[in-house]
Amino acid sequence: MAARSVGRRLLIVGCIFFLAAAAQAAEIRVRVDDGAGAPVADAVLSLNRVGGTPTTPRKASATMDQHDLRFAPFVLPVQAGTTVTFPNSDNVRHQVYSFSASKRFQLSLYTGNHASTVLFDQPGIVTLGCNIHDWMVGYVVVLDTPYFAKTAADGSASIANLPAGEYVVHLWHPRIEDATSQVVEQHLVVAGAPLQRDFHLHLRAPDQSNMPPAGLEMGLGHRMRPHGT
Amino acid sequence: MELRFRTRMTVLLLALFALVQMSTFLAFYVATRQSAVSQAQTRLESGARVFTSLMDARGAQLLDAVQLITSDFGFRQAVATGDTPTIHSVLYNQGHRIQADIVVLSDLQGHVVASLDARGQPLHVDSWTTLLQRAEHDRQWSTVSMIDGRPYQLVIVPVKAPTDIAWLGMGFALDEKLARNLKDLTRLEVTFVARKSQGASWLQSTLPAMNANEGASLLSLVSTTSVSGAPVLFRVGPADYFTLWQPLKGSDTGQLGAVLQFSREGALSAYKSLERELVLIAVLSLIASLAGGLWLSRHVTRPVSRLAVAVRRIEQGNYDTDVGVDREDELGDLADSFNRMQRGIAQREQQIAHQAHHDSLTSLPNRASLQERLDQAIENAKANGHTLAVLMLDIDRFKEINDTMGHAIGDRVLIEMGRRLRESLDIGDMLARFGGDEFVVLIEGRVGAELDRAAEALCQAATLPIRIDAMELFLDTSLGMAIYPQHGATAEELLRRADIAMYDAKQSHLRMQIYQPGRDAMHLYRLSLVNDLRRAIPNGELELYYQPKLNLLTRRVDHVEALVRWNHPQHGLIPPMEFVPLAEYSGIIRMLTDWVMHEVIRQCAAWSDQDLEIGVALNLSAMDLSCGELPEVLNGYLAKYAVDPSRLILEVTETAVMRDAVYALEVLNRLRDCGVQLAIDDFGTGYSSLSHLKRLPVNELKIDKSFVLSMAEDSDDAVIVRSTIELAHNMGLKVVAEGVEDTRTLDMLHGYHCDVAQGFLISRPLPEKEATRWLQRSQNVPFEACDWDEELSEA
Repeated sequence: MAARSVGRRLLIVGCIFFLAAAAQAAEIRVRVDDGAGAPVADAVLSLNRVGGTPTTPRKASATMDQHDLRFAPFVLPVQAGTTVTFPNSDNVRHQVYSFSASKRFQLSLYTGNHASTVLFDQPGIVTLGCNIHDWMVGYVVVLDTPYFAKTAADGSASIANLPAGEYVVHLWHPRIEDATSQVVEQHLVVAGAPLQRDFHLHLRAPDQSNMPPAGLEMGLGHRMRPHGT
Repeated sequence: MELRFRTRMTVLLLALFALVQMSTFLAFYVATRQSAVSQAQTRLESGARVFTSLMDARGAQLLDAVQLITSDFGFRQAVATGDTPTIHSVLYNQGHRIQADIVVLSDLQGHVVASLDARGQPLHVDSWTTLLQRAEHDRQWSTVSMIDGRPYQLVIVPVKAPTDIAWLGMGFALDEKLARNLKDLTRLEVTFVARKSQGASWLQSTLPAMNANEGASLLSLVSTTSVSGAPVLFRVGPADYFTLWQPLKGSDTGQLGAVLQFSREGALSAYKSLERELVLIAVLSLIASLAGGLWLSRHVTRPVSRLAVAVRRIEQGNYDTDVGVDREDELGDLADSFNRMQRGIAQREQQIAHQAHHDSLTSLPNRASLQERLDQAIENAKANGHTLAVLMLDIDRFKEINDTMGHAIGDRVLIEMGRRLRESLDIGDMLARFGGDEFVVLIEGRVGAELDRAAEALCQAATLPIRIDAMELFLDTSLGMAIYPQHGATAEELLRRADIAMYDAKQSHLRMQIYQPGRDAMHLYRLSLVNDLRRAIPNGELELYYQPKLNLLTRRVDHVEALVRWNHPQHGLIPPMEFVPLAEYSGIIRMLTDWVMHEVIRQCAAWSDQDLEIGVALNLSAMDLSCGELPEVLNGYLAKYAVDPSRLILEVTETAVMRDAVYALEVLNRLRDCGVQLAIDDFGTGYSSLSHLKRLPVNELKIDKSFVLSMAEDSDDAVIVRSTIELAHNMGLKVVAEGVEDTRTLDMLHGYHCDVAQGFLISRPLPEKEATRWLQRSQNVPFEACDWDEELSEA
């Protein structure tokens, strides 16, 4: 596909100080836009250290809530080994499933009182759906690196405390071409100094918005909290 | 003629009717054809719309079904397993549910995972990648496409979990069953056709079996795009079809489509029975109109031919038979008019015939009628050796009656005369009015004394006085007679000779005269003289002679008598005795008298200029006395020449005065009032009574010369002359003796105290110049001797 030449790689040539790098940690800030200047939210930025030993999966947890008949958050980046809790904040039941190769699972109809947990131990993109609400879509981006961040509404994201070293920079977004993450910078050298990057992502038109149809009553999604308990 | 007219009328009616029928039928035929065509087109177009919407609905139904399938969790789960047998089975299962004829599943990259037909058998889908590109673009793709050589209506949608994980295509075959269903719904023949660059191919059809040629030509028709517009007529087998090309929606560049057809027979079938009924009605009404036309033509032509027969009869003059058309309508009126017309014609023909043969005034037969009868009578007489007599009668001086009393009186005289004559005749005799006052009688088969008696009876009837109102008229008539065969062999000859005889009778003052042989020439001579006489005055052929009259008392000549002479260029001198009657007969006498008066008065004036105070006598005709204008004319001349009226003596014959005594007396009185002298001429020849004479305003008598000439030898005459002179003197009248030719007579007259003598002894009549000379001399020489005249003349 033509989108292989996505983005212009801006190679910032900096001084490479191995010693300094080994000794110091640095912060990277990025801004992602769609090439036309519009900020891209929900893009997942991840950095894999070149030559470094693969990090062991870390026991961690995260939450993918269902709220207002939507997955919240829309995109959830986690490190492999993370257990994600699927609470239900709506007053309707959901049936969450994934047919993605890295993690197939299915949570039978449930309400918030019986929040399930799923362990995501294989890196990959896991697409979440709800069997009874077709518009609902969510992504659990399972990464084999602890260095990742998700762009905010203004397209910015930052990773702090990056150990000095050389990294491959990946960007992923639900509407990215070819559905797999892209390498946006092959050789990112982190020394002590903070880094600043602007990336451009070419995105497909949205086909699945994770937005309930406009006609549905908004209040429908809220689960009534029981009084007193 | 009758047949022709009737036939023509019938044929005309029939032809008109047939024309109307035919044009009605033609109009109907054309209208129904057009209506059928447009209906077929409408039907075809609406069928095409139904077809399209059916296909759309089928496509939508398919789409709904496929979308339902792709959102089925189990199906998605099965697809997500990537397990080929599982996928095969689920595809078959789902395809079977919606009775799809084809099911295709591919991954997002377009690799076909599985493709099955309706029976679950693998199917090769060669164009999947192409189809998928459109589907990726539109997210869902409803199409008609050829797959493995068969047409399908196909829907391709993504399988989402919840994002796209695969593409699912499902389709229905465009098969014969579908075509039949569509035919049932649209009532159109449906044929699915695939068009390719190298030509069209036949797929499925509801049409009855076609032969190879028809199929090929239909395909070639379809392969051109022209059929996509308006329907065209195409023949398949025994029937014609309106044909429309309907491309199928979603088919790539319209390569797949349906040929929709509607049979023309089907379109026309609704009109077929109507057409048959119309033909039946036309035939029936044609027969009815034939019968009606025949009846009508007979009803009209039969009376018309009767009228024609009647017209021919009338043309031949037969007016007796009425036209037998007894009807209440216009033809009946016409027949009545015919009958009235022929009666009117008969009546008028009779009138005209009567008028043609009769005189309208007296109702006697007219000239033409008489001539006809006379011709007939001559034929009869010739055949039988009989005789016949033609008598012509006229009323003397009838013109005067008309002039003085008016034509109304004249007409009554004629009517009365006709009536009397008719009464005096035998039944077998014919009386005709010939014109004017002339009547003609035709007497057949009588001769001699018998004929004379008949003529005498006529004359007596004619001369009886006629009383009109208070007036009594005494009429003289003259009758001439000519007898067949002595006097003529033809009608014309007999009539002319009767006329001559009548004239002779008039001239000789006889009431009746039989034609004298040889009078023809005389008559012709007289006729020519009449003509010449008209020109005599303007030509100066007339001349006045003057005969001196001796006054026996004074022995002087103080009067002369003017006598007119006609010096005819050919015949020489013609005596008055000859031409004056002609002048009277022809009416020229007035002109003549006028001329004489003028000449005499002019002469008097001339003599006065020469100191000759001579009196002049002139003769008036009887007809002059019937002219009321005479006194005025006379006064005019007297005044013009300033002549003493007493020098003028007007001489009138005794008979002239007697003829129309009353009117003549009036004129004479008026003449006397003019101051002129009046004398009775030729006294003694007529029948005037003394009492009548006494009433006349006359001054002198002229004794007729027949007495005077012989008085010296005949003592009777001498007595008559003497007693007449005495009588006249007793009545206070002067006496003039004419015809004095010897001295002895003159002496005797002197002895009888006669006042004036006139005659050759004194002088013959002298022309103007001689007379003037004679008179001048005589003034100085008194009459003495017997040779006086010669002396004076020769001097």
